[in-house]
Amino acid sequence: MSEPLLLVTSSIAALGALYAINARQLMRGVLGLAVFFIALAMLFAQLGAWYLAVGQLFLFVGGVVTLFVLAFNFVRTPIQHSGSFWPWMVSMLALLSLALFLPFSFATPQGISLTTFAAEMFLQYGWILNLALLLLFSAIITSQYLLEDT
Amino acid sequence: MIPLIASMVLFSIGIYGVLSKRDILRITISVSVILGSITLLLASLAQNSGNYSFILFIWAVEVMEILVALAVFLYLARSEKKDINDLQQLRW
Repeated sequence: MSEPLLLVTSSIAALGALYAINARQLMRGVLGLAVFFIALAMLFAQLGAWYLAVGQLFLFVGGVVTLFVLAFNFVRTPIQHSGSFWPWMVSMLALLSLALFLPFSFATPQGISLTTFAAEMFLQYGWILNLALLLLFSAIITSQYLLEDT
Repeated sequence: MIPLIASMVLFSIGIYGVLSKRDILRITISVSVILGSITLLLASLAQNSGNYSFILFIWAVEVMEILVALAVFLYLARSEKKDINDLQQLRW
């Protein structure tokens, strides 16, 4: 992949990370984090790691960002935002995702199928996945304990 | 070369966020940025071999960190505290 696109994607990732940390409202920070994750997935795709790009989108943009928004909704404090901000921000995020993934829609990755995806993710490195799942289970138990104790 | 520099910049941004912010969610976001930069570094180093197994492990650690941090955030929110320095009860 060309270096200018790599440079642009890296800049978008850095700007998204800076905005996520420094945004005055936390929900805007979470949107900046989503921009960072999307740009990171694009960097993975440009490095040829297609599986990582797909996993990054599924796990982080689809899961972790939703988890953050869910945690905000559990807290009863109202999130202040201006009326015209959200449609503008969300449409900018959608346009950014579209623009970042447009170059890859013309280049078909070689050999991606459900079988190769499963072989790459689960069969060859199964012990790491089992260890990770064990740690994930212990983290869920820990968080449950912390919440029940309050 | 560009992914290495980008991962270095992202790591610096994350360290800045961890050191300068006191809100637990911003610290969580900063740690996510740090782990993302490490993932990018490993992916760029393993570009030729195509062996990305350790990145799965980093992903699992990151998801666990976010889970526990959100639980602590909910604990702080229920006790109407926001600052990380108010976590006196979690000290040994």
